[in-house]
Amino acid sequence: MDDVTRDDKSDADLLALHVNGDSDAFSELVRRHRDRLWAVALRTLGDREEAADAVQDALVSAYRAAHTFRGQSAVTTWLHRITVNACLDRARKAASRRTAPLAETERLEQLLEPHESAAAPAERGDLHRELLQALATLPPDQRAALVLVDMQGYPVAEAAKVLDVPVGTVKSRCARGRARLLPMLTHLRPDGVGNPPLGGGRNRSQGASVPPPAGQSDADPVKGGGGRA
Amino acid sequence: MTSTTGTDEHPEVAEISALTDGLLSPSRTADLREHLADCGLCEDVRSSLDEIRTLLGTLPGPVRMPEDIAGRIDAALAAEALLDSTTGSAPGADDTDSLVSRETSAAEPVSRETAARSAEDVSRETTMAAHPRVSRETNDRRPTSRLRAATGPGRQAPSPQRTRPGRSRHWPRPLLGAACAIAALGAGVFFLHPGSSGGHQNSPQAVQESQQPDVLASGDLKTRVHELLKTPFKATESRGKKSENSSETTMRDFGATAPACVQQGIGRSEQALAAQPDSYKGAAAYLVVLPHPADSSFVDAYVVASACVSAAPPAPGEVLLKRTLPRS
Repeated sequence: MDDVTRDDKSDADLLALHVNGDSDAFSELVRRHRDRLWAVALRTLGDREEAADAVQDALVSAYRAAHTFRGQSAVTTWLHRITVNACLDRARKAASRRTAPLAETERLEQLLEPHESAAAPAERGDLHRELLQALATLPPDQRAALVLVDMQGYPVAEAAKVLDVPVGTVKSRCARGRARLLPMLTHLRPDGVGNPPLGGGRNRSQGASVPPPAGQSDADPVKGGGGRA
Repeated sequence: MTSTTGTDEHPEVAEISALTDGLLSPSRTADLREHLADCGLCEDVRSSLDEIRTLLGTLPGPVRMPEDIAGRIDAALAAEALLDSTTGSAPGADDTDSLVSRETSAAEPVSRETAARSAEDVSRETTMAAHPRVSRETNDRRPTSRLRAATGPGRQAPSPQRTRPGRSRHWPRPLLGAACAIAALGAGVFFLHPGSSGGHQNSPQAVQESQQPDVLASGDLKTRVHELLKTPFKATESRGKKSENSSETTMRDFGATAPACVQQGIGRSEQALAAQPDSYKGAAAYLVVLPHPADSSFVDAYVVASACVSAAPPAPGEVLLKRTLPRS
């Protein structure tokens, strides 16, 4: 019915219809984008309730502020921007309350798909959990950039529009974020075949930023030339 | 080992990461590439960083918004839609317009709603009951926080409709029932501010004024409100749920306390986020910012004539302007 006739409407058309009083247009917009907004929010905040509140705040704001949309970016970018801002707001507040807002295991479990823990090899499941746990310790700005670019696969330019920062800033947030994740991931090289464990034997003030993983490598750090593939 | 950097100078992980993203200067990039070519450890770091990127991309994650959350968001939006439809105005065609007219046109259902629970609070009635309906509304100040707790659409008081699976995808109509209840409550809080206690219970002038720009002597209303909210006095902590807890306290904790008659004019008992003397259309006025009852991302800004301060006999200040604005 309505859905059929709306399928050919662009996001911008729908938003315009909404502004002009079409009571169903905005709900169609929400239907189109809520899953992606949800994924971004949940991964940025790492908490189901917080993410739900953030998306709700964002969509209600968008509903009310639709007439301020100027079409300088795509509607989906605009919706993402409002959502990410709502998330960052909450993440910063959570960060000021607690140091690690979302490190508890139960919360991590709910972030993985239900089938994940059962179906995936235990090793991989561990790695995913470790990754989420590590992600939760990043500053919100870096986390949001990684969620958009690395996890959700948005082009850097798009992420830059969503975050309202220059492209270079998105890149450097991602780069710094990944660099911070690395030392926290002891599972990254479960096999270790042909590769010395991360950080093992790195010899310059790495102790602080790169704690040696549990299984120390036998590779001699001084003769560094070996590990190339 | 032709590396110019040498093994004693392994680059930081962050720098290797920056290299991958092309963030380094050309000369530094060349240096690092040279180092990586000869240093297995650093090359390892580089490939591990790539691996992290890949891992992040393959992390199993939410594919769909869960039904219950989709439902509660639909309900919140349906409540918005309902507020719009009660006035017949386009949702957002003019935010301020629809907000203002909402306040006036929905007064009937609201007074019925509040009348039902006003009995317990009748004794609190303090000032002039200029009009019976107004008095019911003003009586209702106390339960404000209770109302608000129930109204934040979809927040603390989950209604059965919100979790009803399968239906939520077709809002607003199936949810309209729920939305009605929510909206009526939400609206109830809205109307607690009667500009009416000043004697204009239907505040038609508010509607007229909405056609004109909201400009105070100190500048655009919205800008001014945002400035005020940024000042050290703003009660950031009172945002959201916390504000509901502290809402029973009276105005304090900010630099300029609004005179009592201004507070009476607004008719809301919760703590203001900010209050500042100003001037509106050439007349001395107070700008008072209160949390928006139904949604913590909005605030209600009131401009109240401060002529009431010297009025004899004492009378509540006239609300010259009321706007609901995004908090930031």
